[in-house]
Parts: sequence; structure tokens; C-alpha cells
Amino acid sequence: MIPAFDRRGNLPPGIHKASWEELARRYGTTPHRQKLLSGLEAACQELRRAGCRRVYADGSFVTSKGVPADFDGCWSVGETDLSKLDPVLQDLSSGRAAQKAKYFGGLFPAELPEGATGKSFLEFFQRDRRTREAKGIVELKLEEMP
Amino acid sequence: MIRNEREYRITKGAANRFEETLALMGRERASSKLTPEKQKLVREAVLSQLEDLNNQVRAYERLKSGRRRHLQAKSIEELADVLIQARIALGLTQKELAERLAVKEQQVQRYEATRYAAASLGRVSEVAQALGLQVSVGVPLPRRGEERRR
Repeated sequence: MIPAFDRRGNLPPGIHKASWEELARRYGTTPHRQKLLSGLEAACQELRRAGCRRVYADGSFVTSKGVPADFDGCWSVGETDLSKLDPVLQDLSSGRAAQKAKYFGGLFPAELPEGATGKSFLEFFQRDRRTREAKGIVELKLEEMP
Repeated sequence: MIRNEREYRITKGAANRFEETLALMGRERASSKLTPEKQKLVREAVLSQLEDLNNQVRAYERLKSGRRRHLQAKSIEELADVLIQARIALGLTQKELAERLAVKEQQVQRYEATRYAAASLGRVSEVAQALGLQVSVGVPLPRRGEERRR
């Protein structure tokens, strides 16, 4: 369940589990947002086909922002078969330019190797990058997608 | 976009942590649970994120140095960023801008923290004037019928 936005328009801190339908209902409020959602959905289906189980949606897309430029997020690497995954989703160069062109947003691998300063991208994304305030993200279970 | 010294320090701190992570990953290659292929992907992710952060740091440093002579906004939203960047480039504190506007420093802080979201167009215009900015906006028009895409 995705909680209400706080007074800044962000999700409250935490990882909020949601179904695809709930995400689409909550965030597909304009034609532009629906376009971004279609890209996220396509990326999720690609990841699912490669065995990925979790995608986390982040960035201004999951806030109350009227016109987010794109979507951000990350996906769990451990169980994913990279040989089956669209190479575009493995191209992180130039600010994820290739991903943004194809999927209208950019996704990062969620994990960092064990012991690496104790932080994963998943944790990095749960803090506002400029102010370090904690903020929430949405977790999608890919095996439950339509 | 980095808007003040605090955000600058935070961003540099984050960049440093990613640098440490890269070093650690280099040392842990043999013992990692991830395949070499996945290690490579994660390494690229860290490099990519680090590049983003370093770009932001450099852009802010360049702005502060006064070397930047021109700012651009590709949308009305970005105009807010231009106002913030112009203040920094001109070497003005939020307090000094507030004084020019005859408002409290907190008000300028709020404007910048919210990217001028709640400021009226009249106020935005006043701020541009207080900063001595000449704002010129070019607007290519969409064709009739195409303008409702958003």
C-alpha cells in the first residue's frame, strides 16, 4: 500500500510495497505520466523475463510532482540473468541516456557488493540526494505483474 | 542541482563514499558473491552515479567562481533554477537577496527549497529584477492540436 504524500509531496520514509495496478492508479494521473508508466512497465517486463524479482521506483515520479521529467529506480541483480536482459538496461552511461530514450526513465542495479561501505543503491535512493532527508520508495514484485 | 554550501558538502560526501566503494570493490573482486559480469555492471553503476555527483559539484563550483556568464532555462520550472543559480553566480547570500526584496531570509530559503513553486509570477519577476537579470524567453509554438500532449 502506498501511503499519502507528506507535506512536501514526498512519500514518507520506508519501502512501500505496491501492486502494479496500485502504482498505475496512483501515479498515472496525466497522459505524460502514463507515458512514463508505459516505459517503466516495459522495463519491468524485460527484467521479469530475465528472472529479476524486484524493482524499486524512486525519484520525482513517485512524488506529487505534476510533470516529472522521467522515472528513476533500481532492480535486484542477484537473481537476474544478465544474458537474458536487454543490454539497454545494462547501459548506465551518460546519465542513463539510452534507457531514457527507450523507456523514458533510468534504472540502477539495487545492490552493491557486501562490505562496500554498507550502502546499496537501494539505501542511497531512500535519501534525498541533496538534503539527505529520508524519503520513501515503492517496491514492485515482478512476479505479480499482469 | 546544488543550491547552497550545505548541499555542496552533502553531495561531495556522497561522492567520496562512492569513491571508497569503488576502491573496496576493486579489493574484493575475488571474494564477491556476484559473478564477474554482475560486478562489472555494479561497478559501472557506481561510476555512473559518481559521474553525476561530480558533475553537480563541478557545476556548483563553476557557478560560485563567477566563471559562468550565461544561464539557460528550458522550461518555466527551470527558470526557478536559473534564479537560484544566478544568485550564487553573483555571489549573493540568501540573506542579501532577501534584503533586496524587503522580505525575510526565511522567505528566500523557502522559495529556493521549493523551486519557487508557490511564488507568483509577479514575485518571480521581482526576483529576476533584484538580481539584475535580463530574461528573454523563446517559445516555439506547437501546431494546433499537438499542444495537448501533456
